[in-house]
Amino acid sequence: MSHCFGNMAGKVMETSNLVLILATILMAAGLWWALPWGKQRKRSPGWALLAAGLAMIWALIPPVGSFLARSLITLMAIITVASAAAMITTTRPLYAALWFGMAVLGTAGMLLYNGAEFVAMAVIVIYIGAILVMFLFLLMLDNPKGMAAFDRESWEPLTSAIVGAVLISLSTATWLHRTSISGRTACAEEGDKVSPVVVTQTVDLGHELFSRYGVAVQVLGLILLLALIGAAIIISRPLEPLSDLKDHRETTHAAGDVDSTS
Amino acid sequence: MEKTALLMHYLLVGTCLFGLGTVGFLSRRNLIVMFLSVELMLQGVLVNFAGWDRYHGQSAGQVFILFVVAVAGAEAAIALALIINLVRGRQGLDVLRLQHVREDIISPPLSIEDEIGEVEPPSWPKLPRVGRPPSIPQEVLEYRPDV
Repeated sequence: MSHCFGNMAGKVMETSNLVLILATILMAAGLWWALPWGKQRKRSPGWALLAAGLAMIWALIPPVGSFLARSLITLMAIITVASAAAMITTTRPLYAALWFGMAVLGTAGMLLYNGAEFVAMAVIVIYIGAILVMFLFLLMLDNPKGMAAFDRESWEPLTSAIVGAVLISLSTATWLHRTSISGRTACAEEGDKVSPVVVTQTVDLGHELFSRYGVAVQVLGLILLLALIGAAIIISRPLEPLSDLKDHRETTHAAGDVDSTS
Repeated sequence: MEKTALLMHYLLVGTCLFGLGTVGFLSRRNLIVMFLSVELMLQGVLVNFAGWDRYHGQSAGQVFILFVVAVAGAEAAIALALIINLVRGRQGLDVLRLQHVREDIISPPLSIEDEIGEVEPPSWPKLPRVGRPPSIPQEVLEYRPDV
């Protein structure tokens, strides 16, 4: 397959690199603007910049065949990524949890489109049904008033936005240049057709899970058991109250001052 | 072209989820939102697995998705226990209250008191000093500006 990668036109690679760099800048600026800073302001420019950057990367990859497939995948991708972006930028943790549930639903839709129907349902049941409800309960328990000060401020919004945008575009560049658009059309192989989704894939999955990966399933059960025991142990030993923390901080500060003066 | 294009769509969505989860984990101060960001990164990995699963036509990717989901469940149990413990001991979900966990050499990034101001309270109707108490409508009494 390596001969396919050799005949990429240099021009195409350069253009896609430029587009990626521009998209990185747009995404970083958009994320930075959309993250909470502690000041009230309009978030919509940040959203628009982020969407523009993501759309530029989206335009780089070749479209899927039929119109129906293309629109379905685009819809699910938009739901997933927009919910993820809303989750990390909202100032209200309750809404963050709900947006996370929406992102999980989009992910489950994408899994379902790929014929992984059992896994899609398992993801919905476990993430939304178990994990998300547990954390919603915890949110209600702790912070019934909402809008806490620490939710309206973020650590280093500019740095983390740049890190995230560079991460997205760099990891996109790794596979985008591998199977570049022009490089693949030059030597499109016959096997490059989407295999149809088999409806009985769950049966195959079960057979494979309990024959080839049997030991791994056992180990996984052990991990879950250990996590259960560990959670029970952690819960049964409360931490010391906050006053000790202040004493600790004061002593460490005093020690640091002594060190710096001497 | 079809197969590669489909794979690329999945890879791109997985990458975006992973990157956005990283941003959330790095920048947010709420413990629960940080945990949900980690789960978002795991979702990105799931989408990646699904894409490669279809690309190769095997079900190994789905097996790995199940493993990832199970490990995420174990992680959620531990994280819930830890967070409940921290909330009980430190009165809050702010990671800033856990900064004593850091090394003593590293100076604290912010003090606990150095927080931005609270939300201004809602403007209640001014009650007259004398006379009958006015009847406040029920929706005003139940008005909550938050959550």
